[in-house]
Amino acid sequence: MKEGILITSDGKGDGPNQVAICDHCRGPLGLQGKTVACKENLFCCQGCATVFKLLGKLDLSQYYLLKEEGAPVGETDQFQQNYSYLNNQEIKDQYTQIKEGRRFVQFYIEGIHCIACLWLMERLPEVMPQVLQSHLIFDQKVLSLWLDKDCPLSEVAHLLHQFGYRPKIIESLDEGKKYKKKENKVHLTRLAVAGFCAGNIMLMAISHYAGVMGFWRHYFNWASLLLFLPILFYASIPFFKNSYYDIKKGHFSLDIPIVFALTLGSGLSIYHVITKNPLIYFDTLSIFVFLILASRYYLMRVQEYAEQLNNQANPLIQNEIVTLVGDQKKEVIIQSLLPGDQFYFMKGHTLAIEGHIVAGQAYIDNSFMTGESRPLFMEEGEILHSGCRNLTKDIIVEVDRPFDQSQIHHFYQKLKGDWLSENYYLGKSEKISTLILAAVGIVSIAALIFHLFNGTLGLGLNSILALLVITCPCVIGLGTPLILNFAMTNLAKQGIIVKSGNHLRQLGKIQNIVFDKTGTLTHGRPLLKKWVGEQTEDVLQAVYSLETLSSHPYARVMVQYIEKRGDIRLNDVQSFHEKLGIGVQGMIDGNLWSIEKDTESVESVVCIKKNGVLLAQLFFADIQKESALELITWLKSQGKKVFLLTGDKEKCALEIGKSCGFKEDEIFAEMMPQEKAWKIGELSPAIMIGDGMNDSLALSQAEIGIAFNGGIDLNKKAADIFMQESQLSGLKELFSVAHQTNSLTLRNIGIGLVYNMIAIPLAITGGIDPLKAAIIMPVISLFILASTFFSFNGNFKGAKR
Amino acid sequence: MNALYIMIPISVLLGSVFIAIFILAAKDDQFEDLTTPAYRILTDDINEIERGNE
Repeated sequence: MKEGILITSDGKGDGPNQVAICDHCRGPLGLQGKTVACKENLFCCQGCATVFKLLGKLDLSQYYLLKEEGAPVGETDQFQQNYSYLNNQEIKDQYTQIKEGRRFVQFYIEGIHCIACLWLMERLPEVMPQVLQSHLIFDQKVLSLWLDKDCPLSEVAHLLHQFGYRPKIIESLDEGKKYKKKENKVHLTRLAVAGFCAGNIMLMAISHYAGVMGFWRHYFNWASLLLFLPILFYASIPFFKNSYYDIKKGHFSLDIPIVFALTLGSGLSIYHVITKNPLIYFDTLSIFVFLILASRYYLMRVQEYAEQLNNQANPLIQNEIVTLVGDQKKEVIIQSLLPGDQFYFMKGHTLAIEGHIVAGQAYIDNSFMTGESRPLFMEEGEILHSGCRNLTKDIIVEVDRPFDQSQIHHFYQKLKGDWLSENYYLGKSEKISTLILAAVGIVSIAALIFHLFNGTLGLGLNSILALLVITCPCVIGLGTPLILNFAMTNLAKQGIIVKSGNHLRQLGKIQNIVFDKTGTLTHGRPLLKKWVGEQTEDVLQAVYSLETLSSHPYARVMVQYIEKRGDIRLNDVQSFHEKLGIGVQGMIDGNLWSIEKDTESVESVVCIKKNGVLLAQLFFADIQKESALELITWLKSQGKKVFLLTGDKEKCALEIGKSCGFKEDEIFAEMMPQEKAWKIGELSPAIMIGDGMNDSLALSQAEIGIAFNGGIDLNKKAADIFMQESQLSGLKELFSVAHQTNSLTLRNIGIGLVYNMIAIPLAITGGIDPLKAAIIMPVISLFILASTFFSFNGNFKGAKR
Repeated sequence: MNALYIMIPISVLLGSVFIAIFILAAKDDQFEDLTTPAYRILTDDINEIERGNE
């Protein structure tokens, strides 16, 4: 705050041997060349001091007792974010709900790290009386607040911001999510009931195997019948429901044979209990139901987790808030703008409409739409496409076409259509287990008819039940989801989110892999490639001093480059002048320095001149990531075919492509988004790996789309797999896991097939009675599950080293 | 053996009570968020210190 005194970094310390640390963030002092002192406390920056004082004022200093040593604090940035848009009626209607006079709102809180954050968040009602209740879900970083109906949302957000967090309003649960949540709960209850009943039935079944006869046998039979009823009429409801819908729609699913076995088994058992026949199968059936329910619940949870990471509360760009030009400076949602409206297009924002610049000049990043890696300098009158990003300065833009006519909107619509038409992919193991079960069904019906005519119905029912039990789909039907779940959770822990197990399985099989260039194989931003000429202290200092004053993207690259080289001093610059789109110049110690773009060169070259004499030339380019060559070579060695598609110029594409290990005929340059999608269609089935907005179409066109986090939100929706980090090594991991998944699945199917081929004839000829089948089936299933678990975990540890 | 007459119904009844408790807990969203409550306990220490001071 204002009372804070700025002192120099070496001015104050706790002694020669002690490293002074900041009282708020515990970071070393003097890192940015300054220390802020305030009463007896020392801080590394003004932001930390502000938060410290605020917490003290609000009587929340215990925060520091809870904070783990080394845990980072919320970033206290210098940006004064304006949250007043949250008070708009439109926002309130869309994002909040009023229940019993209280307003319910949810924020996604960036910067939640440790218990201290949790404590602080849930202390809000004490600090701000208008907050009636606050509740944080730690994992998801979602803060639910119940507010006084008239409490301005901006004030809450502002308080959170002052603590050093970055709150983002999110839409609270819609109907679909609410329904899913309820389903989840019901499923859990079913699982619990099934587990309880199955456990007790198993205990009673011990008496059977121990050979209890007579009265007590019937007593136990009746008891297990009673316990079986909740399983049949409550826990098994989903099977009955699903198979009803499947039969209605005319496809065959695993649920149908499950229902068949359940009805036949329970009917027969109930009949036997009543007629005092000793053969009952409640134990087999109940454990069967429990295992299937358990595996499905696990699958559901894993998918939910992946979805959560996927949706992590990024507000969509059409909901970005802009300020209208005018006296009132009204703030509106960008999608409500109409043609002719003028608004401020702020630095760092993405445009969701199409329009032209009315006032101002700025560097615009068009790579989302065109893939062009160089930011363009644009000025008054020039046309801005939707999806472009403003890199440098706030400008005023007039709307030509509103959001619902923009190209970005078309992308949305196209992608939406693609999701709707996406077919459910039946995996190999499902196909095989369906086949086996269909065969079992035919065989058992044939056997039933045979025994019916022979007058040996009782014997026939027995062998059919043995057949149904012994060919339990567990072996194949459960093994595969389990493998996929292991793979998906392990990948998710490494920041690779796979939306569904089927994608992982396909990944290992598809041969054609298509890469996008900008942002995927390269860093996606210009870097200093070569420094030709003088690089003396004098030159470095001059460049540093001049370029710190500029906001051009290249300037930042130069500044960073020089900072990395070590100690550097800022010189006084006189008569500094920036020619937008060309470069900067200024006087240092009486010499005229100019750092300007070489307009004649095709490449991005910057010339450094001192008093008109050329001292050095700097070459800028978007260069490839370190591991790109290694990855491409590895993929080729795995027998995959790789391709490079880019919207960039041919020369640039060839240069980068070749240094990454592509052959000339594998590189396709100057492709428009639509052309990319066509190319993918030609190469089908193909995997597309990309990040830019311009890849969205291609990503959704490809059998598997893999998006990098560098891309915008839209891409994550279009993609089937996305990676939170932009490192290429993740891809290698992903492909090897996919490969392992497939080979393990194949192995399980193999074991399952052999087992079934032996078991089916035995069961149908009466060689195995239902009781023995009931023992063999779980033993084999457990064996397969265990071997899957161990080999997969082993492989994973191996892969991670 | 005759004890089983009563023991089995009782054990099933007891089990049912626990199932009922579990179902209530599930309805109450206790299985929705499994990590935050664990952390929340740790903040109780601070709340206690505060109460002591007052």
